[in-house]
Amino acid sequence: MINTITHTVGNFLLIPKRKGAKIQKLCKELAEVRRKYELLVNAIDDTIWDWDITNNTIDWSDGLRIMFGYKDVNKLHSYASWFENIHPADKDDVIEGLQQVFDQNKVSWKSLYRFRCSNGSYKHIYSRCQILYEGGTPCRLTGIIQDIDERIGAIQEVEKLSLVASKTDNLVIITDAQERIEWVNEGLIKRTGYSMAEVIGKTKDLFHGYETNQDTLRMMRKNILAGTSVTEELLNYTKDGEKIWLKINVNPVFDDSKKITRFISVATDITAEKRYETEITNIANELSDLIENANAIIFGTDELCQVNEWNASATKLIGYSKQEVLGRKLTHILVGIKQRENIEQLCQQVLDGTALSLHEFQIVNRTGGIGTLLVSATPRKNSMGKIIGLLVVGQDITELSEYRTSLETKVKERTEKLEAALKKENHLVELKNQFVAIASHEFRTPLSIINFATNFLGEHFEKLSITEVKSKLEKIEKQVVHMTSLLDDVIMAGRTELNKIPVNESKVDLLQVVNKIIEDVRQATKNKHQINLRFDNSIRQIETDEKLLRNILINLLTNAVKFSPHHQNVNLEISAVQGDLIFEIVDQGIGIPEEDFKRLFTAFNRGSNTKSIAGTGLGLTIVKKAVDLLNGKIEIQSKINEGTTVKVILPFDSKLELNSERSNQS
Amino acid sequence: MARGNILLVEDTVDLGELIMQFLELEGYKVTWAQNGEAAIKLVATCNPQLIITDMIMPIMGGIEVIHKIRQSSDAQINKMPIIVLSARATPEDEAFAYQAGATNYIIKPCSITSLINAVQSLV
Repeated sequence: MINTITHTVGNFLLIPKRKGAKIQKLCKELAEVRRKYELLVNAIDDTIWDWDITNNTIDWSDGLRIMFGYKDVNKLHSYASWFENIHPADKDDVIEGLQQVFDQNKVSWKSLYRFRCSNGSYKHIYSRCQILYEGGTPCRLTGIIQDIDERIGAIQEVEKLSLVASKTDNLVIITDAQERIEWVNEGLIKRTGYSMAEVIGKTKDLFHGYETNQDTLRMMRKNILAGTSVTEELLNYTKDGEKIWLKINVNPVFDDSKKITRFISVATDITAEKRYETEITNIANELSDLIENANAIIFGTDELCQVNEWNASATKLIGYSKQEVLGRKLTHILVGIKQRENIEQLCQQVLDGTALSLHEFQIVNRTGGIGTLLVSATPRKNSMGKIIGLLVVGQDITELSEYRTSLETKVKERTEKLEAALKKENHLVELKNQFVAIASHEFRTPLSIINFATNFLGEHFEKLSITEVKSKLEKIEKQVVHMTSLLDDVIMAGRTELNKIPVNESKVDLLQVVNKIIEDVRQATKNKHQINLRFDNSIRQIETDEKLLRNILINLLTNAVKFSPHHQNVNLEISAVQGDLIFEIVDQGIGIPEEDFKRLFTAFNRGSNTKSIAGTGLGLTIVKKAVDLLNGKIEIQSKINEGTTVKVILPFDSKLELNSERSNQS
Repeated sequence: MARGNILLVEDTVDLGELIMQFLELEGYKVTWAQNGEAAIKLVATCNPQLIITDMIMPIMGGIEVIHKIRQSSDAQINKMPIIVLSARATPEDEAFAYQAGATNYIIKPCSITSLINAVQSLV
């Protein structure tokens, strides 16, 4: 076309060149215009055309070749050839539009239509032109054609996407490169409550509010401007101010030159999920708060028994913080070495699926202190039901345990005391029973004698001589004396049991007292035995309780006689050695069996070999008590069937008056 | 002619004397032993129809005397009636004596009449 124009202009210019300088100047100016025109034509991609309606010719710039691929532009020099190449579907529109413009004498015409390329395909073009009229009739049209095929393609694509988008429940927003909203779908209108008119031209900030995370927004913007697709969860607001959580995917759209032309955002309403998630998170937080601050000790491990839960109470009790114990073996933190194996076994049991209920064990805390923990443990399972660890809830029962132990000790002590008291009580009852039995037995024989003697006197009094009557009366008197002494013994023993004996010391002539005692014993035992006294005559007057001394010696001598039925001799030796007064009574009697030694001084207790020998079992009880009251000691040595030696040692000090004479008396 | 021979076993001299006196006045011939052992020795020689024995005595007590008598191979001796005259007053003691083979059990003190009655019922 340029060639054509040049040619035309050239022809036009040739004639005036020869006509003078003015023409030459004009020619120069024309050349300048031509040059500018060429530059302009080369500078734009559009096709420039010039249609001479009068001559029915169309001139094209080189754009025609570039845009549509026609090598020979002359083929399109006529109106018919142009019209022929318009897409059949667009022809009517184009002609109609053109006719309208001509009818109204408009000076410009625009049209969108499809034009055939040399390869037979069609391109969307945008054509604009200026119209010249001559006498009301259009004579010339000059214009440009823009290739808008790509743009139209893109729009169509968007239309297609929009169709899809408009049908989904998702919220779709298309913005331009400046993020101004160009289009939104029905879903968005419905969900946000805004009308289309209210959103077009605004930015998405319309949907953002106070609680919308600005950091997320900044990050999203930064990424999409850099050309990256972004997916984020973001809090948005409806027109009414309702909060909606959207999961938004933003994709930039590029043109051929990789320039961002728009952004397409597709958002899913995740408010319900978010709410659920928030609730779950809240519950989880509450639970974890609960665990953390629970008064109970709570800790957990993984399947290798390594700690992964450890609450504040556990820290308080054991002394390790959560950070210190995480990942460490539970048994290494909680218990002493001795208990480790045992606790490991229990843990394994739980990890094998058997819950542990109210197990009590000893713990060792950080500082080595010992406490008692009462725990229940359950296996922890994952969603597949596989055991992935264990959870332990425990209670510090150290104080309780100590209290319990002390209580147990107290109960034990009290029980022991009670048992002792009961035993003593039983013992006293037993003593009483024995006392009654023995006393009654011991009284029955003398009573028999008295009874028979009085019977005898009563029945035969007239026939009896004075001597015989006297003899019977003496027997009665003797039994009364015997019974009185027996009664004394019993009372004495009873009082010794109750610790009610007063000590009345006075100066006594020891030898005189001892001789009297021997005489009494001889009489009481019917003179069957020889009692040999060996007396240290340096001892004369001593200060003592005569009654107690009598009790000691009478009982010991009577025993010696009583328990040596086949032997005649009983020896009594009294001596003073290093401040001690020693009484030694020796017999060759039946002896005391070894097993009876431990109960020698127990009231009413009699030797196992004394069944056939009368007695109360009170003798040694009385002796022991009397010796104790006089601050003395008693030692007994004995051998079965060989005899017994009793040694009574009484303290002997200034109270004793020494006599230089020594004598032996038998 | 004596009403019968009685062996009295009693370690308390005064009591033994009194019982012997009474029984002799009643016409019995009494042999008196002061313990069980002496009694067992005398049984064969004094030919008694009755034994009166105390329970608690030195050397050999009454229960042992009863056992020895009951175990005798001599039919006349092992069937002999035995009166126990005891200061042991409990039912257990009494049962124990009967179990051993006592014929009668009299608790001290008793009236001389009741003793004589018991003796007369047996001899």
